[in-house]
Amino acid sequence: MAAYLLCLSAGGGVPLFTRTKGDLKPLPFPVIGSLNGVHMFASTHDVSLLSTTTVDAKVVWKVFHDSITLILVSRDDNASDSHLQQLIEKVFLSMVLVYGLDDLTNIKNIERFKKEIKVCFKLVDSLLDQADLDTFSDLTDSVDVVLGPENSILQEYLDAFVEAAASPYGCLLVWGKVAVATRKWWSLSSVELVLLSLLVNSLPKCSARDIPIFLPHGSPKVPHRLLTFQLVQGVEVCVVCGPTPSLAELQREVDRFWRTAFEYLKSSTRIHPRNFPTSILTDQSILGFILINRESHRCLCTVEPMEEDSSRQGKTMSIYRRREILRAFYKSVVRTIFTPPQSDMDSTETADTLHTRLKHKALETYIVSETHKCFAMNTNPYELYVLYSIHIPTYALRSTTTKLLSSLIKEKTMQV
Amino acid sequence: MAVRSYPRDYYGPLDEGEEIVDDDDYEEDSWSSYTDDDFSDSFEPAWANKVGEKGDLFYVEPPEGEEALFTSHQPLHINGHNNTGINSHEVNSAQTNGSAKQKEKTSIKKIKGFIGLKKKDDLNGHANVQPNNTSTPPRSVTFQDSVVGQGLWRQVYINVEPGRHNYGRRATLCETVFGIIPGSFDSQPMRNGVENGGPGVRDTRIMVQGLVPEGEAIKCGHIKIGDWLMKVNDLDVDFDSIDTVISTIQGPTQVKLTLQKLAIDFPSRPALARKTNDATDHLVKLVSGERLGAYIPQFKNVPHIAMYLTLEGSSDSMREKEDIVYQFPRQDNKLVQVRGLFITLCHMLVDVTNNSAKNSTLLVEGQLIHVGYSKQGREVLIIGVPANRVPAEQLNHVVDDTVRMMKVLYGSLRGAFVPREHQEKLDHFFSLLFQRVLLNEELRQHGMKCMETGQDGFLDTLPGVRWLDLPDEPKVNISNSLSELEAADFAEMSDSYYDRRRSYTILGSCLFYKGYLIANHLHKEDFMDIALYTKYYCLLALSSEHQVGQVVVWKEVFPTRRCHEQTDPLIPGYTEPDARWFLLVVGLKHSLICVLLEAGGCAGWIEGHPTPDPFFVDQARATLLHLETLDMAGQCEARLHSPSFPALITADQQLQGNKGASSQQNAKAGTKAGASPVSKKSQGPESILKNKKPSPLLDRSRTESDGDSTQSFDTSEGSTPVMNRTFDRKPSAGSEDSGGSGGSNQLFKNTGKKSRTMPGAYDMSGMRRDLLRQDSVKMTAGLDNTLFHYLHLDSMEGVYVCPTGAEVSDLEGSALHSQLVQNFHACCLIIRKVFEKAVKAKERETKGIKSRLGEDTSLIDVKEHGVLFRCSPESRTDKKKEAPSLTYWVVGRLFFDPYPREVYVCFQDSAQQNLVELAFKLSFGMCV
Repeated sequence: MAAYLLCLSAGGGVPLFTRTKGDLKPLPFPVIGSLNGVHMFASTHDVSLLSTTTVDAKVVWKVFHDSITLILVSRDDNASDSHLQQLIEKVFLSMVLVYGLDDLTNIKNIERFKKEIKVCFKLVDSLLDQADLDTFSDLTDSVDVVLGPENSILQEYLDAFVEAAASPYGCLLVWGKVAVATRKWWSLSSVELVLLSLLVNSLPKCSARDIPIFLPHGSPKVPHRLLTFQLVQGVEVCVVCGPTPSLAELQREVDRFWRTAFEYLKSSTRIHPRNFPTSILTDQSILGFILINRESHRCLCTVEPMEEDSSRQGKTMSIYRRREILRAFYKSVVRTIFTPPQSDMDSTETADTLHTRLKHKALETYIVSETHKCFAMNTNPYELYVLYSIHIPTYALRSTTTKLLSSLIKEKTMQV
Repeated sequence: MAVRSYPRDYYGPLDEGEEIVDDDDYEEDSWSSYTDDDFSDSFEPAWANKVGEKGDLFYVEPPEGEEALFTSHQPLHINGHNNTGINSHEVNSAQTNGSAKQKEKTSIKKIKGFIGLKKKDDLNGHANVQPNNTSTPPRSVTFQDSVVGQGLWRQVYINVEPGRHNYGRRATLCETVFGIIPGSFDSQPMRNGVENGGPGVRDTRIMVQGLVPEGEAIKCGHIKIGDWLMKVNDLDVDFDSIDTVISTIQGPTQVKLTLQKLAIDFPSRPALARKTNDATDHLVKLVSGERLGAYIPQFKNVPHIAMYLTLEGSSDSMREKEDIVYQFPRQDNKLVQVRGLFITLCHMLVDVTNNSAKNSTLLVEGQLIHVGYSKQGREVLIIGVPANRVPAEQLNHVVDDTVRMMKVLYGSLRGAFVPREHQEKLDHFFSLLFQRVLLNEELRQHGMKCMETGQDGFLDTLPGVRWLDLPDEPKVNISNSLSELEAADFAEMSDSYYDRRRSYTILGSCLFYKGYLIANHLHKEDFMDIALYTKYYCLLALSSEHQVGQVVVWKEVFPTRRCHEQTDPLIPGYTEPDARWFLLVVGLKHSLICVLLEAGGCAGWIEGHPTPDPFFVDQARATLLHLETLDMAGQCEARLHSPSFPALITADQQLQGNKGASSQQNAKAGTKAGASPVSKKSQGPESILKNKKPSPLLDRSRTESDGDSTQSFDTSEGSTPVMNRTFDRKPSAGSEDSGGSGGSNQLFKNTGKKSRTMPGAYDMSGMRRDLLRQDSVKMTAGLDNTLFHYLHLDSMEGVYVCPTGAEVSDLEGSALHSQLVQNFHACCLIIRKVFEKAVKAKERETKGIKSRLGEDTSLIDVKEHGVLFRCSPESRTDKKKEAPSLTYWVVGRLFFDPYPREVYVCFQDSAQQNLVELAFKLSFGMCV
């Protein structure tokens, strides 16, 4: 997906930064000016311009705290406006996460701000990546997890380690997805959960880091520290803590606490990219799925549910395409057919959403196209979106999906 | 021997040199006798004074019933009905010629055209035709005051030359000398100046009943039909004295005529308006655009706007609103204030995305507003509506339709909005548009159900009109009648008879009854233009709800196919002729006939702005009347009131069936030994089963379904029905009867028996009746009917079909079901959006259009989309027991082959059949 993201100061309309995704020419300054101008013109008349659609593109505007205007130009996703509005909201919150709300609302020196805001580019870019990401958390507002058989053992290790770090917030990421986390970590808001894992993913790989973060909902103005340590390749442990302990101190502890867990860690990385244990059997025709638990803000996603035979490679749908279709399907269903989850972002529901016109609750929906089939199921608190190959008969979609759902949630030891 | 000039054809002016000598052939009787048959509004068509400057006409007349009210209030009136009015022409004819009746009959039609011409000429001559918005009660003529000197009378000087014309011996002096055909204001016909029965004082005043072509009166252009001829050379005249007065006029001289004009406003009008202010009258006025004034208050608090903005002119002129070419409603609101935003957005987004903006969402004073755009060069059409009333998807359609409508009506958007004189017409259009899409309460109160059913805006967005499938015989008959009209073979009325090129070719026509399309003989694109017209001018809605007295619409149009989309012709070398096209809509009661006429091509070329051709109006009307004799209305009503086909079931019935079934169920389980065990949901709705008439047709459909029906028997609750299909295909002992299974065992058996014996019986009439009734063919397989609702859209033909049966209106009463239907429509809107995107994406792909921001190909090939809903009746307060709930599917399917079609069905979750099969069955049964 190609997109432009423009950030301007709300007062003067000074461009603060632009990010582009995809192979696009940068927008000339007058165009940026007029894009911002129409919105400013409207607000002087007490009218707020929310979005505009063209044949193939969509533009959304949003002003945050009377200080920053964000404009997002993206491909028309054929879905409710609210998806893009949530995305733009997440962009702002990620700026808060990295830069702090205080500095965002009081921009004193624009030139300095322009330089400093660059720290959030990596995170913002990963939000714009969409289908290029191998996680879906930015879309589903719930954090990607992996269901490993070793999770319960790793939980003990993590709890012990976090205690040593004198912080209740800790989690273990396997290829960017949460394997285990402390109870306190799960109490973070869904956006914080999503953005924290995205942040760790978006940063360049290194063995250990110490970065200041602001929790957008927990403490947007007081910074915390995010410490991460790479345990084995693909596995990182993250701790959010106060001024102590120092990175060096904790670095020494890492070795002590995690040495014995090496084998478990090693095996937990192997679950990627399936993300759920092989003991759970799935239908041959399933190409990928998203399982979301709206209560725990977790989602389990995969586009490679089984090992591809080398002989079949190339014949089936590419991984990227699977992600793209699943994302499009999710967007076309949520807030159009399914009632959306209560978002904890401060977005007032301003988008015109079609689902409010539906009188009855939608439980299931499916799409049959010439290359694939999709089925979605909404059983509180779970939502399951499955991508099937074209070979499955339409009448079998429903039963296969039901079976998949029950087999995924019946495991008591590994809860989504 | 009387010599009378006779028009060589009914359009061209009389050529002085070629007088047709005609002995007794010409009958004055024919002047009046043509009123005798069906043309009650004969002499002066009621719409004549509504014709606009450009010859266009939009005339809607309230139903007959109310007219009695009108007329009874009028002190003076001409009642155009059979026994009244026009015969006074004979006043001065000494002899009444009883012979040559045959010829008279044949000349009737010619005269019709002839008179029509006179009126036309007359109207053309006058710029001061009555303003469109004054509402003269049709067929009632009155004067402001009958006393001279009240200001409404006027003096006209004409040059006369007695003896110059000779129109035959029965022509009155008034005709020969002045070219005025005298008439009476009295409702009683005058015979030789003698009071012809009837009590009361005889009214001997002379009314200008007609003008002789080439006569002096018509040449001077100041004498109008309906005027009261008061004085000649300052001498008072009446029927008794006129001849004496005229005979005194000698030689070529100037004569002073004193006339009193038709009253423009009636003193009794307000009272009348109040009296007749019931639903129909109200609606008629609404549709005919007479209530524009009342429009504003009702939408005062609803922010909405239609604007046509231009970039022309400097930015300094913003204050003077020079950039607004057109605006409706005129009141300024926030949306007008921020109009600069719209036009900037439209032009600027091209730089960003290569495409112009389609719609925007704004938050105005806490209310979400959608704004739709259509950019044409440096100008933009903008329509803004509140989001809670119109979803963005619907708005896009409204904008597209409006643009198409404007192009069809005016040739281009510029041509529509720029000329000032179109303003009133546009106001009319947009007031109707907003009334329709904003769904104001008023319309609902007045029972415009047609609009109400579209309250989800879904049916409204469909590119087509509702189609009523009649049985073959009436369908053919109706089609034949239309063909007859289109053939334009009017015997002596035909152009060859006059050795002259015809002025119009009829390209095709279509017929509506109560808003349903009955027959269509037009090319699809032309038809869509016309269907849009009838939809946006609420003509369909009007005729579907109320009997209208008369509707006449005449408008030059620029059909999309012929004027705007120059595609390569199918036949190489063939191009559409360079011509002008006219739309004629004639309505009567619930029927509406739309005719597309072509001038140019193989017909003669027309210059200027031709007024409605009374001849074609009459022909169209005659066709409608002819159809009435064929009992088209009866056939349609029968079809509308017959049980819907395929049979439907209401949600409420289904729920009740679930609840109340169990006790009955047990009792029945024993008796139904032969059949397989019946699942809980098998309790059928009795009403539908009762309607079930055995017929060969039915029988066949039943046997078809038998194979599938067996699978329903061993379904356990909660299992997935779609799966069952694969497992349960095995023959069952009871399969023979299972298709018609029933609420009561007896009925069940009866049905089975009859259906076997029926085809053997030689009772053809019964069979035919059954075929015609086509009742209650169950579409779904299995024991029960599970189909709630359906919709089939054929975008090739521009029609859609959805349930029409009598049940539908019953269903409206049930809360749950109407909710279900609403939900169905809302869901269809969602599904259809996906389909539209898929079709568009495909188009773009084939055309190779690349978007700057990348193509979204993920949902490009969608051909089926289904949603499962659950509902439970809200009324239940009993919380201990779990409320019974109903789950149902709404499934949409898109077919590309052989041409694009869409089918939407709504059926119960327990439907024991493959979804696909259902959709297919439904769509294969339809052919236009």
